[in-house]
Amino acid sequence: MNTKIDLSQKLDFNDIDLTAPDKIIEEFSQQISEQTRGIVTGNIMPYNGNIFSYTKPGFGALTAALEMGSETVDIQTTLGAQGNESKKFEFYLSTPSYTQYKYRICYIKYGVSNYPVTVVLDQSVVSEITPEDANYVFVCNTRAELESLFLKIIYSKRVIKVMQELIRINQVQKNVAQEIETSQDEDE
Amino acid sequence: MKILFWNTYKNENINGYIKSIVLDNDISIVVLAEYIADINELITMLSLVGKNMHQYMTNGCDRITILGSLNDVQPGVQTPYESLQIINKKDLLCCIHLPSQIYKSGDMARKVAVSTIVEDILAKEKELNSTNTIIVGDFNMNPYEVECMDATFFFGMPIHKESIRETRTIAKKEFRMFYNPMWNFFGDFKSPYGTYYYAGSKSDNTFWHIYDQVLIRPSLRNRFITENLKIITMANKNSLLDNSGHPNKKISDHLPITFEIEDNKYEHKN
Repeated sequence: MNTKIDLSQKLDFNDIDLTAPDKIIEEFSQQISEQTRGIVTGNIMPYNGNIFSYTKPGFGALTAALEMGSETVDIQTTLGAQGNESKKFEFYLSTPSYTQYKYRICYIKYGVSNYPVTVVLDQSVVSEITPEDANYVFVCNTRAELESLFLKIIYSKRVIKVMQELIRINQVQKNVAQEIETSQDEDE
Repeated sequence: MKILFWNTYKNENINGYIKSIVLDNDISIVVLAEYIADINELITMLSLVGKNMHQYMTNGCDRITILGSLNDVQPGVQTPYESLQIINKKDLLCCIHLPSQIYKSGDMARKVAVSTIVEDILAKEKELNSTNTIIVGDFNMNPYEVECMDATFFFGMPIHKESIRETRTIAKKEFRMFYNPMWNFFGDFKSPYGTYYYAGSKSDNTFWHIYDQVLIRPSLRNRFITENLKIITMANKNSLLDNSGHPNKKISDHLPITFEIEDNKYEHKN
């Protein structure tokens, strides 16, 4: 055949960082635990519930839903190009003092190629980090974009407030425990 | 276990009314939405009349405040619309304040919130091996609306006899039902005609709404005291209604509800 295809300018073979998004968030979680002296723990755990997201022109700013209703679009269809398998996780804060407690911040979902990753956020955080666009759903195409978004999320007033409250609750519990210990010592 | 729910309409002077309802109905758990009054003042007021209550942990759910006299109450999932509490390690109390449908974006936001809440409840029920679940709060929708009725959402059945089958399989997927006793307040045979009055311009507006609701799993029905489910219209020797018979917005635009889940008939599903 005389006709040759030339893909050299069309395909990128450079190595890029395709670390799984949950691994990246796991690293952030460890940092949260370290920075809060173990009082607040970040957790990224597999999620079995339905996560559907959608953007539809003419529906105002609201663009996210959890796979219900005829007007929603399964995010999986938009991820379909990357393969059939998709992984879903929830990211939440917890504290060792209350073993059942969790404050959920977002869900993430990605396909077999790891990127793009879809992040479905709590609206109260969304309105803070992107006040001009109350979109629930963020799509990060690279690790850098994901890290940048998660920094904004973790630094948001909303998340900082919850972490601060958990630290205060921990302090109160510690003080109560010390008082009980002191009074027991005095009794003895 | 007697529970009060009230959307207090950001009224800073609501504590006297709450105290009165707690005492009149021997309430053990108080769930409040839009509460901005001084909670320490309320706890002191209750303590002075022999009702010792403390605040439960709802950090992460600013829309809900919970206090009560029970000791074994542990916080579960907290989101902006939901505060899940685990009572006595087996019972789930899911307190909610869903987005308003008066605002344009409320409809879809409510669907998102309800789906998440249902998933959270199912996960926790499985973990605790219990279906002793109560949902209470300001649903911002009526019992007949889709997110209350539909199997893919709360699946709140109006008739207990129909709900005792507990689940229904649709398209090969099993959905778990709730029983919604609030249906019994519809119509004008007895007043009040709802918990919220809204004279909006929508063509299907019914004016009176039952936005404040309690839903229970069918297995809890034998502990649910029918006659103690009430929409409260009097507190602190005052009517909570205005001269037109609507909720008095000088107190709150919602009427409180109270109900009782009997303690001594605990039947955990194994």
